[in-house]
Amino acid sequence: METTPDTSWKRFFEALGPEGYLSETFTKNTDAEVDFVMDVCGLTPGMKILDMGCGPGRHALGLAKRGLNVVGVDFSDKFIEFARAAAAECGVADRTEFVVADARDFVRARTFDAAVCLCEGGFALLQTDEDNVRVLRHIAASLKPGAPFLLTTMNGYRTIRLAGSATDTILDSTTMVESWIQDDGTELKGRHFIVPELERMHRQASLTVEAVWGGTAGTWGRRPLEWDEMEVMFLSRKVGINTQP
Amino acid sequence: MFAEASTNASVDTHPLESWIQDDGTELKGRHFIVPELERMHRQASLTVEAVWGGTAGTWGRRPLEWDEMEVMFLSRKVGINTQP
Repeated sequence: METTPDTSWKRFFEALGPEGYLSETFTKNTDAEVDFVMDVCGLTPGMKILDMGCGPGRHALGLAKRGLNVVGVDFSDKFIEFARAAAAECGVADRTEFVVADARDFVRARTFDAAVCLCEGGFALLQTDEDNVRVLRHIAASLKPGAPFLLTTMNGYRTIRLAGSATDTILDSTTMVESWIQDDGTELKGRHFIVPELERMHRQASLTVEAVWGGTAGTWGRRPLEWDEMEVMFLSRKVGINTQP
Repeated sequence: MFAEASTNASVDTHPLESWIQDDGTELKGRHFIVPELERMHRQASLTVEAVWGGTAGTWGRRPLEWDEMEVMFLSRKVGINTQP
């Protein structure tokens, strides 16, 4: 059964548009981030990778340029159309597939050598733990046994430490859901998680966590998470051994 | 153990706080946030009815403040009491 999408985030991103998104500061280190993904996931040309919540495809295209076969998934037609056009322009259309789908619904069993879900793409903009675990489960199901998965998402420790000081958002202490009211009255919501919750959710999805690092855009590295940084990064691996040739 | 967040309290998969006593003994305590506690109650077949501030000296049916020491949960065992 397909999920009824929460259209508020979709409307937000489509109003921002791919060009607006790519002008944001947090997108300015994409090349270095793609190199980092290649390194920590042990990727080599020819491998197949899933980019869940790919947006305009900035990481997906970088991975394709390095010889990977990439499937990018996003709920925005506008962003996917942009990614397809960009892939053609970069000469990597034959190594990329961009799919319009809700992250809660997309799954291709045992297809991928690796997966990424970066910068809240397809994760944490969903407000319930059940939805977020469902995304992780589908990613895990799409991976070959033993394949790596890299996630970055909001760092809940920072959110808690700043709670009460923000003027433009409201954080519910009982649900850890943050709300933003937009100029047009639309309410956007996102769930902030702390490390133990994310570790548990990975485990529930049959993903074994291998490392937790700081994951703030622009500062990716194999380094400890700082309490007050924006994002956290998880490197995990699908449970099981790949016995395929 | 995973990469640690950099402060006095070590953080691995669970945010354990450690205190070294004068005799060298290390005491540890796990700190939870509300959604974790709600899930743990549910796992134990307890339905959470209220979450309040629970700091000693200020108990009451009042919202939890971000910076207070303790939180309070009122829950109820799932099911209907059929005993006389």
